[in-house]
Parts: sequence; structure tokens; C-alpha cells
Amino acid sequence: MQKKYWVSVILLVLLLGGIGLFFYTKNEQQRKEQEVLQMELTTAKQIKNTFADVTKIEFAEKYGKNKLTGYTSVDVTLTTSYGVISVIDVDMSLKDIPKKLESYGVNPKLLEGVTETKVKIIFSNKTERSL
Amino acid sequence: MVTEKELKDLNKKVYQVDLGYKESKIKYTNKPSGQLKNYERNIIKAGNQNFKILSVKNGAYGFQGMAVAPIIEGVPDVSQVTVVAAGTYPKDIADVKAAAKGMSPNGSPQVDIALTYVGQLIDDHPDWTIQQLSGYSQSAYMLKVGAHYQIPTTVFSGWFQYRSLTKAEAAFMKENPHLFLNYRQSNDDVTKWNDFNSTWGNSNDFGTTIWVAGSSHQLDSWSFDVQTGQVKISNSPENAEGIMVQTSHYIMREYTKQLSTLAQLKTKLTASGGGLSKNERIYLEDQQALLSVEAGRCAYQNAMSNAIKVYQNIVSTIEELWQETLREAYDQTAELSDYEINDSLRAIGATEQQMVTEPTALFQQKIIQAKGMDKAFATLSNEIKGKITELLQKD
Repeated sequence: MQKKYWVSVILLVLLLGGIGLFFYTKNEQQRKEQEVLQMELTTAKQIKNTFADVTKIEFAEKYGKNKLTGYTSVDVTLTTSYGVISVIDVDMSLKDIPKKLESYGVNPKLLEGVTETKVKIIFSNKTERSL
Repeated sequence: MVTEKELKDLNKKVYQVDLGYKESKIKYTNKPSGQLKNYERNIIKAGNQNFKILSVKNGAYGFQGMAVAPIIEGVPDVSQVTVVAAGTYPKDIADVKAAAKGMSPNGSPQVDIALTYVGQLIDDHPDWTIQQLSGYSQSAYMLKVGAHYQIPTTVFSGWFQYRSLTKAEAAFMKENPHLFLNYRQSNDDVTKWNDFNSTWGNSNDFGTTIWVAGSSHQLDSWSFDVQTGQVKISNSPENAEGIMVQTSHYIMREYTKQLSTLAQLKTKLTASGGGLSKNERIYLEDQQALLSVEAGRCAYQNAMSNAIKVYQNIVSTIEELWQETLREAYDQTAELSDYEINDSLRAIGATEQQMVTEPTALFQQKIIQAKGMDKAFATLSNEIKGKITELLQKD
């Protein structure tokens, strides 16, 4: 009888632990996802301050991380009103965020300037919004 | 002249000359614009400057490097070429193996590839002037390449075996430490366990390491001044020496640059008139003297501001120590009167006069002396300027 009791107690503890771990992981995942979305929104603002007449900004699903340099990079596809579609390589950092984008591979067909009009953003998790 | 912020960005991007670099589809190449494929780029934006990629190298032992020139008024300015080598890419086995080998006194095997690469660029492009080399982490071996070809070099979070320098390279670095900047954080374990240099024990770095308080090895950890583009070192007592070294290197660089402008002027004047007139010679000599005095003054002011900071720290520490001594004396001898406590302290030579007033006066005297020297520099500089103006009016 006592043995059965202890087995039930251990099972209950394990179950509660498992549920706790599940929610913790999920929360952590959500927190990270929020952080990424925030970084993407900041990057989208920088893109609007760097290039003219952008109509759509789409973040790639796959991220790159150079563990040594500390930079997280993502390829972003820009669509413009003048028909140019081009990819730029953006390194995202949580510190010293300038108004304009700094350091990326230049495609001279992409006109530098400011985009004043609304832009459609497709985030890496495929959600969308206009900015 | 490329800024340190731009160098940091170039160091971040140079990894992408490697087709095996997995973190971005965009790859950097020196192909002509008409031949670029969808994900290839031959221009890099670093800071606010566009740089044309003139050459890329993907060599043995996981070496990656590139030569770039700033695009000025639409044209790459090849009189300002910068060569950057990539740090270790943790997902590239050859790169990691090279880093492990780099712990030996000879340093990373990638250095031989870098030496050949830069040498070839110099031989193949006599119209280029390679003005700057740079690296990060493992590729701090660019310091050796810089000492070899006598080119200014700046590296970030670099580990480097200074013993791998040849006699001639070491001699050049020793004579021109201002051309070499090795920014490194004092508690960065990656650099420490690779070359065993630390704030408390170094192989001779000839005054090229700029120690900054911090423990990160990441390139992302460095901040830059928005105006100057130079590495921003926060103002704290443990960074005082680093700030001094950084400033003095820049003063010397500016000084040597101005001197070479004067030398060019001399060549021009000689060429036009077949020789220097008496006034021209006096003018050039006065300008040179003025430059020396101004550089001396800047270097002195730099050292002085640090010395004053140290003195002020000592003065406040002395005052604190005295107050602490008094507090402890009161705590431990509650039954004695103030007079008796002071008397006992005096008996062992601990009076406020001896412990606070006299040393404080001494340090304040030193600060006044230092400021006096600065005035002397200013007077000398004004005298020379006056002479130059006089000469120009006569001419």
C-alpha cells in the first residue's frame, strides 16, 4: 500500500515538473520570438530611413548566428515601387542602434533615400503588418 | 582615412567572401558589376561609407581576406586601400584547427597566407597605396603583416604571439608603436588563453595593446564614437592608461602625417625653383618646429590630464584614509577624549598635517607644475606662429 503511495507521489512530482518545464520552454520561446520581432521592426524602420520607395520588406525564416563575432544576421528581401527586388544582408544587434542601416552589401539598383509611404512587412514568423 | 567603426564593419563582413559561410546568402566578390549573380555583391557599406571590393582571397588554413577602397565621387580611391582578414569561423574546421595551432609561439598558420596575399597585392598593383590593415580575434596576425610591410594596423579582440615577429618586424613596431592598435578587453578569456598575454603579464607588445575594462570577446561588444568613429573607451580609472595610449597613438599619427605634407611641400618648392630660397627654408623649418611643439603639447596634455586624474584620486583616497583612521580610533577607544585620541595618534606620527595636508599640497604643487609646462608649450608655439606670420608678411 505504502509503495503504491510513493509511486503515485513521484509520478505526480514528475508530471508537475514536466508541465512546468513545458510552460517554461514555451514562455522562453515566446520571449525570444518577441525579441526577434522587435529587432525586425527596428530593422524595418532603419530600412525605411535608408532606401527610397520601398513597398515590401520580407525577413527570411532562416537566421544566421556567428557565435564569435556575436552578430545575428538575416537576409531581407526589399520590393520597391520602381520594380527592383533585391536582398540585403542585415546584422542585427541590440545595442547602438543607428537611425539608418549600416554595413550591408550594396546593390546600386536600390535607390538610397527615405520611404515616407506605408510599407508591408512580412516577419520571419510569417506574420504581417504595415509600417 | 578609414575609421575604426568602418574597420569593425569590414571585419564583420569579410567572412562572407567564403562561399562556405552559412550565415547569409549574400557573398562578397571582386567580380565586375555586369557579372554579379543574384546574391553576389562587390560593394560594401561600412559605417556611412561605400567600399569597392578590389580583391578577395579564400586561402589555405581557413584564411579569408579582402582589399577594399572607399568610393569617393563615384570612383574607388586606390590611394586609400584597406586589407582585412577574417577571424575564426567556428563552423569551419580548417579555421578552428588554425586557431588551435596559433597557440604555439609561431602563431596562426594563416599568417603566412596573409603575408603572401598582401605582398602580392603590393607587387601586382603599384598604383594602390595600402594604407591600413585590420583583423579580429585570430586574424590579429595582421599586426605581423603590418610590421612586415610597414603599414598601420588596427585589430579588435585579437590574440597575437608577439614573439612570432622577426627582428626587423619587432624593431619597426618598437620604433612606430603608434601605427599599431590592438584593442583588447582585460578579462577576455578567449584572447588570454590563446596567447597568454594579460594586463599583469605580457610578452613585449611594444605599447601596442590598448587594454579596456570588459570581459567580452565579441566584435559586437565594441562601441564607437559617432563623431570620430574611434573606439569609445569609457572614462574610468582602470581605462585611464588605455585612453592615454589611444590618444597618444592618434597624436603621433597626425604629427607624422603633417610632417609628410611638409616634406611634399619642400619637394614641390625645390622642383619649381631649382632650390629653396632662404625664406622658404626658414618657413619650412619654422613649420616643422611648430608641428613638433604642437604634437609635444598634445602628447603632454594627454599625459597631464591622466596624471591629474591620478593625483586627484590619490588626494581623495588620502582624505578617506584619514577619516577612516579617525573613525576606527574613536570606535576602539570610546573612553578617551578627542584630545587624548589625537595625542596618541600624534605619538605614532599620525597627524592630519602629515597624513593629509602635506601630501595633498605636494600633489597640488605637481598639478600646478604640470599646468605651468603646458603654458610654456603654448608660449613657444605662439612665438613660432608669430615668426611665421612675420616671415609671410615680409615675403
